[in-house]
Amino acid sequence: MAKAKIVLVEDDNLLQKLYKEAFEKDGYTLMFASDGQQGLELIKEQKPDLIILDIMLPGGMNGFDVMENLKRIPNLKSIPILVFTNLDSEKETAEKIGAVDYIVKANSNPDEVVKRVEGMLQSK
Amino acid sequence: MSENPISKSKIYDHIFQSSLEIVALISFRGKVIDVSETAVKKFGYSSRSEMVGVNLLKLLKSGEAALPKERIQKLLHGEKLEGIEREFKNKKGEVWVGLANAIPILDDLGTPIEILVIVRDITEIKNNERRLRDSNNLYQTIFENVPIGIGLADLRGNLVDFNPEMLRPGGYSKKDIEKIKNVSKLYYDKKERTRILTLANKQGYVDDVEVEFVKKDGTPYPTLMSLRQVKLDRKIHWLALVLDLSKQKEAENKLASEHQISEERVEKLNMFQLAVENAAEHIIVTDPDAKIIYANPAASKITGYSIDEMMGKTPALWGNHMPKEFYEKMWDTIKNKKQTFVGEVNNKKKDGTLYISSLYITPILDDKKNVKYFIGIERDVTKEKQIEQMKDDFVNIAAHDLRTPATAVKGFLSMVLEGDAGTVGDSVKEMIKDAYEGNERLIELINNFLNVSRIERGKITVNPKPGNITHIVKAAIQNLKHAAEDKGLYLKYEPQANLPKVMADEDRTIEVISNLVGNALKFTEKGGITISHEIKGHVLVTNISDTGPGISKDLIPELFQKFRRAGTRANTPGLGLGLYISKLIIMQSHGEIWVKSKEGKGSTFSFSLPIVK
Repeated sequence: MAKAKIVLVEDDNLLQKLYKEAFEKDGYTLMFASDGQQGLELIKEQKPDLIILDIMLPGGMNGFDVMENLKRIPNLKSIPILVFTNLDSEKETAEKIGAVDYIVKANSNPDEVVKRVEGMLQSK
Repeated sequence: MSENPISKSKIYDHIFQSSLEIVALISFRGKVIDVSETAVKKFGYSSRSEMVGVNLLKLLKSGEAALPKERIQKLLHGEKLEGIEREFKNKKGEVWVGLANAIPILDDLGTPIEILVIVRDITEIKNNERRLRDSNNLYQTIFENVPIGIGLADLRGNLVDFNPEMLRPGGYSKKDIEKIKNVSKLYYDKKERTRILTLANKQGYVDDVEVEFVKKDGTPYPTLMSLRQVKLDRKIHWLALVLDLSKQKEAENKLASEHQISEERVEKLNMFQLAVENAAEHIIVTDPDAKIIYANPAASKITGYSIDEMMGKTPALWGNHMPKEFYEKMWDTIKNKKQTFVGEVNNKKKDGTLYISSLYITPILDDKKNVKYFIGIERDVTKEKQIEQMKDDFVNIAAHDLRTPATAVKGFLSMVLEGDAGTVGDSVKEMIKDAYEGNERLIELINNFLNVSRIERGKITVNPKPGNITHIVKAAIQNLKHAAEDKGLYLKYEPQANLPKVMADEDRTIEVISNLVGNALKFTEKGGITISHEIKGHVLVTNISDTGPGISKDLIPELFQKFRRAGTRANTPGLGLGLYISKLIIMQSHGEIWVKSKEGKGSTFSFSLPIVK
């Protein structure tokens, strides 16, 4: 079985590159969007198995806005979301809106992130 | 003689007729036998014969005795009496004083038969004497009682006489002065005497010179002195009139100093007024009901209300934009506790502009400790707040943006180390490891920056709840065990059973312990770290002791400050903001944090947390 399809909404191209390496090494398909609007469109178009979502994003739409939008779309609202951010005080808010997991970027390794995603997909 | 008695009586008759003296011939029974014409006139009778047979007592002022018995006896023995002073009266009742001589008249056998009395009117002399006596008495009384010292001295300065007032101011007795004798010894400054005497000799007098005399105790007293030359017993004397000025001088000095004090007070008041009027801070004074009784120009400028508009109103005019609890706490502080209230308030200017002020209200109490006034000082800190906010935002954004690339570096390096990019040689691996470590420190530093900024802004609040300290410590050291093992250090934690629960924010306390243990691990090269607890009254103390190099005494006070680093030894990582954050967390948990250290013997960092009652 082909491994899961993941959308990463992240504006930093270094991190895009890092996570592309990390996930594709393990056989996942990783697609990027660099701001909230793009992310929402990509998710609608691709219907991924999992979303990795940054909160602070350029443009008018931040990660929380993306989540709130998704939760209103019936066939998208159940896609598990991993909030991946450098804000370490927004965990509660994120979980309230519907994030399954919350990782502070600076405190994580790519391997760990991959492991957490695996866990999320298994318990889906 | 006896054979010619008539001629004798004729002689008498002749004498009585023409004598200018008051002469009377009186029987031993005191009755007039004959008198001189002068006597008749003196007693106011019309003729000599009218007076014959008048009792002597009738001629005396009533109450005057004629003569005592023993004197009559003397007369009977033929002795003459002289100088008998009696008050007589004439027929009109007018009294006059007479000085009488009485001569007994003897018969041929030598037996006294009559008395010849010769009287001289000494009324005038007596009156003069009395007048003199009275006037002497008067002058003596004045001399004794006048509040001016009067002294008389000869030209050599020897005191001849002086009155009590001359003694009083100096505290001398009469004997003291008699001993002193010479006035020169009474001057406080002998040169003054020379000066005054020179002047006196030149002019013949001195008027109202101020001179200090010496008291018995050696201290000076001020006087005003005048000197006059007087002739006494044909010798020239100096008469000194001395007025004691001690009281006047005292009063003058008091007045002068009072004047000076009031001048100083006025000057001070002016100064304070100027300071208050020109202060950039908004300053108001209110009565105990918060009604404004004074406002300075800055208050008017800041609030936009004129001083007249503010008078009699309360500060709610521009304030009253805070929650009810804020004002309740404020009133409790200033009115009930009578303490200064410090706070930050949102205000509104007359034109509707909102602004933030730092606020100080101090109650001014009267003697009975009742509030007399409130003094309110406000400073518009809107701009400062904005700058502070910008600074916080900057730190926040900078820290956040710094994190992302650091995170990317961390990710790439960890992937290389994991072998995701193919096999790497050991020497390259070592270098990558060092790069990874360096990057980790960078991330920690950025994290701390963020934490400080947030804790200071109150964004991260510490919420102490009853918790189990053993559980907290175990959670904190979980991740540090490996680091200790890697460095060959022990990490000992053997808590006693049944420790009381403490009020602690679990996550934040874990941060504190991780930080303290992490520091201990960083600095310790041999031995290890021991964590222990002790109960001290109402608090539970947690001690983290290491066998590290210890901290120099000078550095200890700085340890818990922002941006400090203990020691500058090479190869020892900095403490960064960890201790400062730990202090903020413990303080917000109502505990304390401190360190005891001896250089070369290791350090013990301790913090206390309140025990749950």
